[in-house]
Amino acid sequence: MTITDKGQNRPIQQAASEEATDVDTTVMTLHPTSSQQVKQVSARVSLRTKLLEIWHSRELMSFLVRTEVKVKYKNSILGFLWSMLNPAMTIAVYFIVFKIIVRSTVPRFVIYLFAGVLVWNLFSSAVTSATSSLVSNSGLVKKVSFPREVLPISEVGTACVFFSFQAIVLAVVLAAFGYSPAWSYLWLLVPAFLALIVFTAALAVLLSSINVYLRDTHHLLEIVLIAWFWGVPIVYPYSSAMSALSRHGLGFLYLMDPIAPVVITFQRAIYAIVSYIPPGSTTRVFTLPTGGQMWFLKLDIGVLAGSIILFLISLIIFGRIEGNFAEEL
Amino acid sequence: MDKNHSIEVHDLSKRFKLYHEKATSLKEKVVNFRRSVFEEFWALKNIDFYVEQGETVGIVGRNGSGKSTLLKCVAGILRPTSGEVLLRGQISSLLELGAGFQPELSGRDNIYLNASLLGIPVKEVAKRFDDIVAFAELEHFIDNQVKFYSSGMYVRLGFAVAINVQPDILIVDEVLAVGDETFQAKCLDKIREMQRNGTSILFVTHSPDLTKKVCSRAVVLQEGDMVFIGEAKDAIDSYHDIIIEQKLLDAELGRSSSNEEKIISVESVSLKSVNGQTIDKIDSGDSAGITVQYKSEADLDDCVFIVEIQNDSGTIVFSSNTDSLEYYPVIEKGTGNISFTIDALPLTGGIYMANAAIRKRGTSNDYDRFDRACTFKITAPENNLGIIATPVQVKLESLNNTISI
Repeated sequence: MTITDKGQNRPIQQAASEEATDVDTTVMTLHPTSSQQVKQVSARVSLRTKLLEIWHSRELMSFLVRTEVKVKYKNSILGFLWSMLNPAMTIAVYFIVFKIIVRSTVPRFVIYLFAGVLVWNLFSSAVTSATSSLVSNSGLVKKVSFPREVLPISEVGTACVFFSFQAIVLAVVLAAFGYSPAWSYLWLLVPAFLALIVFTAALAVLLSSINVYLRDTHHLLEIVLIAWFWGVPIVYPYSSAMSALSRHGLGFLYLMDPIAPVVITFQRAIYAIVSYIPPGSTTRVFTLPTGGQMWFLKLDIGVLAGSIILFLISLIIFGRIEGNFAEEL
Repeated sequence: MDKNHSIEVHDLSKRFKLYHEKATSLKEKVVNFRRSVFEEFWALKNIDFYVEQGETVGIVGRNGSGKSTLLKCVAGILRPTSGEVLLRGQISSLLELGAGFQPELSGRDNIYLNASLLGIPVKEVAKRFDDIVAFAELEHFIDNQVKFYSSGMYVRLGFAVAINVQPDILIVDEVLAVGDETFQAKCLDKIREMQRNGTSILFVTHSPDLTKKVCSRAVVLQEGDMVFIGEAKDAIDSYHDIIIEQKLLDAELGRSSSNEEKIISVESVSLKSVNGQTIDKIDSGDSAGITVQYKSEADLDDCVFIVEIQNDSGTIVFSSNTDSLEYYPVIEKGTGNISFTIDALPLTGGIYMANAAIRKRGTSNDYDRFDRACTFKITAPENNLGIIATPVQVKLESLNNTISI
């Protein structure tokens, strides 16, 4: 069949369709018609409808997050502890390599690592699981009608739950060692976290939809994330990378990475040591940017604004191609 | 949208791209760049109808006619290529029961999860929770993980959730074929109750009987075109005409698929009227003939010719063979006809198919068998349910006056 012969012959016998049905009119009042919402299914969905749909699916998303969290470690003996063991291992490995083998002089190196890994884990685990969320839930996508964006977005929600567990552990570690965060910078965690969430959600929505058509996306992402991890000042101090790049006039590029501003904000607020004098040396070494609260705030707001735009673009792209999800899966 | 309509389908078309081999990886996409061969396939073409508030509309059609695609478009699972669907109120769909279940969670958690997938607020679910559990007959197992449920329990729970949330619109696809008979009857009762309460239902089933029982109107689809819309019984009639038209396609499928050279084979089966004409429609109760044409490679005297008539649900409603008629044909090499004359076929209206087989006497081996070799339609005046149609008398006799003190 081609498009051209589509509209022509329509042998429709319109018979008796006008006849009223024999439904008792008195029961009609049980379903008052005029007040009910009208739902439209058509080839295109407006961005506004999409956003409304997501908003109305809050409850569904919270159920999906709860399910995911409940099910993830359901039949394991250690259960929730596993969600701690992953970052713990990452931190332990980098600590051994950089503090003991490479002999990095950065003080409180564990806290420095922890602050960065906390942010990175949320981002990478959410984006990774979200990318395959539509494919792995193909049964749902093919058989049940609901706003599909909910699947990748609730993966971000799930990552937030584990993020908060890890954040509690970090707080306990800080308290146990008696390290104090930079109190005057703590409020910056809010815009930084928001920026992180929106950016992660934007990538989650975008990549999950692309992955339906190109299953490589998932594998490609894993590789990109490895490189990306080292592009963000998590293991090494921000300042050393920045000074190296600035010599070539590329310093601005470093902060173009949306994750970097979030990571350094977390480090500034939680780790709080901007500079130190290494033992046996007289020169001061910088670890973090020296900017004040406003400098950080501007960066985070910048990321947030960019992420919101990216999120809307992702939704538009998602909306364009989601019509065929049920066929492609 | 008309305020009396629950569903409006406007000029809906759905195109699928049929890839000969779909590239799903980047490498394949690059390698096959510009060579991505696909055919366009219009699964639905300009479908236009509406469902009134509280009305039940059936969708009938052969396999591949676009029924499920239409249902999925209405449910919002597939996006139409053009046109639109307007729906008023809460929608619940029974496309695949328990599709949203998470096996690791308990039945209780799954009820909430599944309901929220349907877009029903938690408060509503909590109110109906007991009804749902009672309907699914799962009181003792509701806190067990769903993965331990039997498939029957699984389906019952899925059905119970979808149907107990008091939707304004219910979309049903073939699901009544599951569960035991008691549960099926219960589901049907529930559907009737919803009809009385003003729920609009869009209903797909392969059973013409069920369509006539449940639906007030029906849409007939043929290869993506809506060829008929009207009263359910007229729609079924039109659907049967489509089957008759396409009977040749079906016939080939019924050939016994042995490659070996057959000594004798059934060439064709045809329905004959009393005066010997080949026909494909008869009235219920009329007499008819079934003629089997054979082709033999040898002279044989141990052939038993068997003819059967089956209805559209596959039940054999009539069977006869030459041995039971004490007729022992002697076959000569070549072709010939064996004709059975049946005095009356008092069957209910619908589609029937004739099967023919030639069996070696005294064994259970068929020389050849040709199922669904001939499709025909029987028209009965009224009462279209059940298997046989035969004249009935009825009278009322009041017993009040006969009780003497």
